[in-house]
Amino acid sequence: MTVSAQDTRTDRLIRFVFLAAMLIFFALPIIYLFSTSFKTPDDVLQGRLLPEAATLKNYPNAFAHVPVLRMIWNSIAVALLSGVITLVIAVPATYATIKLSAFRKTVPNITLASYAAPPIIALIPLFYLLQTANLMDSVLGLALVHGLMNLPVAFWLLKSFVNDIPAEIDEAAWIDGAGYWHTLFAVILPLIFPGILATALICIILSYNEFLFASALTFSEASRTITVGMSLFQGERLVNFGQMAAASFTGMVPIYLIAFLFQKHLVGGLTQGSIK
Amino acid sequence: MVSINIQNLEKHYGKVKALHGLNLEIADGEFIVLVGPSGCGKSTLLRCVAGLNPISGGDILFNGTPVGHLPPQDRDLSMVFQNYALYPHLTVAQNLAFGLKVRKTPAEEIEKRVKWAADILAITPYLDRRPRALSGGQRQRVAMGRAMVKHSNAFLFDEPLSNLDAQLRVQMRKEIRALQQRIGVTSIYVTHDQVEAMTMGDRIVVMKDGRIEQVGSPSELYTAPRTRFVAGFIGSPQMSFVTAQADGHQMTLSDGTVLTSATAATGAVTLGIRPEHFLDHTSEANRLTLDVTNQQVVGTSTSYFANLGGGEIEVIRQGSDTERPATLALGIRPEHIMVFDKDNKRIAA
Ligand SMILES: Nc1ncnc2c1ncn2[C@@H]1O[C@H](COP(=O)(O)OP(=O)(O)O)[C@@H](O)[C@H]1O
Ligand SMILES: [Mg+2]
Repeated sequence: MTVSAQDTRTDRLIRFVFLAAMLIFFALPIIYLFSTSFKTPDDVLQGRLLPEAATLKNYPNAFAHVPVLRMIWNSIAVALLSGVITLVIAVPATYATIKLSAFRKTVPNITLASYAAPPIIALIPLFYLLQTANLMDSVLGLALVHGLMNLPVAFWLLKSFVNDIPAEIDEAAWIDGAGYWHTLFAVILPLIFPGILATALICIILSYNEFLFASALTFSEASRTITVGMSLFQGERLVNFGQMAAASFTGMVPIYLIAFLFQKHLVGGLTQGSIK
Repeated sequence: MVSINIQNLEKHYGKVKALHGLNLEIADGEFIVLVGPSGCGKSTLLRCVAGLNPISGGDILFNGTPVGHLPPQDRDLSMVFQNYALYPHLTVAQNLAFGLKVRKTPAEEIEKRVKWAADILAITPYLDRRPRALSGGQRQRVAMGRAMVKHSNAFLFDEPLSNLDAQLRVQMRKEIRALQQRIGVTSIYVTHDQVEAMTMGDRIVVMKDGRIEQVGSPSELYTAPRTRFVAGFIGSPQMSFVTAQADGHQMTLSDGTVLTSATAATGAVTLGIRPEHFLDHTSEANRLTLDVTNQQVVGTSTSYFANLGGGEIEVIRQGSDTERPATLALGIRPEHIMVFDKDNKRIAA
């Protein structure tokens, strides 16, 4: 069958229309947010896409009302630290479960069950635990909670990468005299590195976006995250949507930057196996 | 290098019994081949020796010292896997050096041994490549090199040649055997291919259903198989079997043919004749005229399939006979007719 020029042109048109629709679907909320960040309170109530009289005041006002940059910084610190905590636990745990058959049946089930349970269940126990540990209202405390919260996700993501490595490779290392930690660091880690990177990115993004634990476990400027900061624009009487949009948009920047810079690793890491 | 002594070795996978109390002595420097059909427990036995599978009973001794409880790291062995199991992220040189580095061998000693192995195996040009940039045969050599550099207690091979094409396999058999003799290392070699077993082993262990069926040199297994299973498994093409009624040395087949065997027996027996043992009609005591049903030319010899005693037997004759004859006039010596009792044990002549 030959493909005529006509066919390719229609194909291309269909593809263009489809992609355009997808782009609008995903970009519209962000464009709307961006546009709202330049609207006066009156404009916001009109509900139009573009502001009637654009104002730049929302940004300085938002930053004055709430310490936006400080909160973004807190969010980044919590996200990175929690990512490290997750991986430090999840990587050896996945290896031990999958390759050394330690609790091979139970760990996957327990992680899945704990992930499926509503997080609110854990809130009050965590509250008291952090209080006892003197980690209430601290970046470290929230990072610890996020780090543990993301363990199931990390385990399930890493599991497939570790599974991809033929058992004989581990066995060859053991026969070569390498202990289990040595094998993990010298053989497994380099082989699942793309998976570790992708898992780290996902855990960091999940932590950055988390609200429930952050709102309950942090309350001072020193540790509050940007997701909690967003809620502070809901005053008692009215919500200042323009300022909220300005803060939201600023808060989105780091996470979009991460996703943009690492998208190759994110997609590549999740779609291709470690052994080729 | 060690002698390996396997005593009452048992292995269960949950309820599945894979090895039923095996006993085997392997001398220092011996090349022993484990052969048997798929699922008979060859890999399980090898992996128990390696320490990769914990044993369920009995013990394994290296030079008389029990090692059954030791993890693989402490047995100081080398193993060549079917899929080679090279470290994909390391170069060939790093693959060879890995085990030496783990054991904190001095750098110049590592370099010396890697060079030594690479020279022997002719892989020096690839030392800086990663495994994925090598052909199957080259990977096989790297796997051999990784085993060699360590000067370990013994070599374990688990079907190392089954991923290679036929020509390369024949060449690597010779090379592995030559290398093993040069180094003089005790070796256990697993294969399901009896030709490989016959051409490589000092001694062969024939296994079936988690038990050792017979241990012996290739010629012992060929000339004096203890059971019908071994007789059928060893030798290519396979031995042909026909049922018969024995009365002393006289064996009467179901079609009335009477054959004389060197072995005496009574009652229902199974006769085994190797296809290559048929001779010309005139020369021998047992004379047969068989109806030919099929025929294949294999190089310089011809394989005929013919009816005898209600079954089909195979006959190999020299020469490439492209015309199928209607009948074959053959002779067979009495000592070439093996006799198996109803428990499939061979009756000694
Ligand atoms: N990890 C395992 N779990 C359960 N059964 C196994 C396992 N490995 C092997 N077996 C069983 O043990 C028997 C022997 O297997 P194996 O040693 O691999 O045979 P071979 O190498 O001779 O083909 C088979 O019945 C097989 O199904
Ligand atoms: Mg096997």
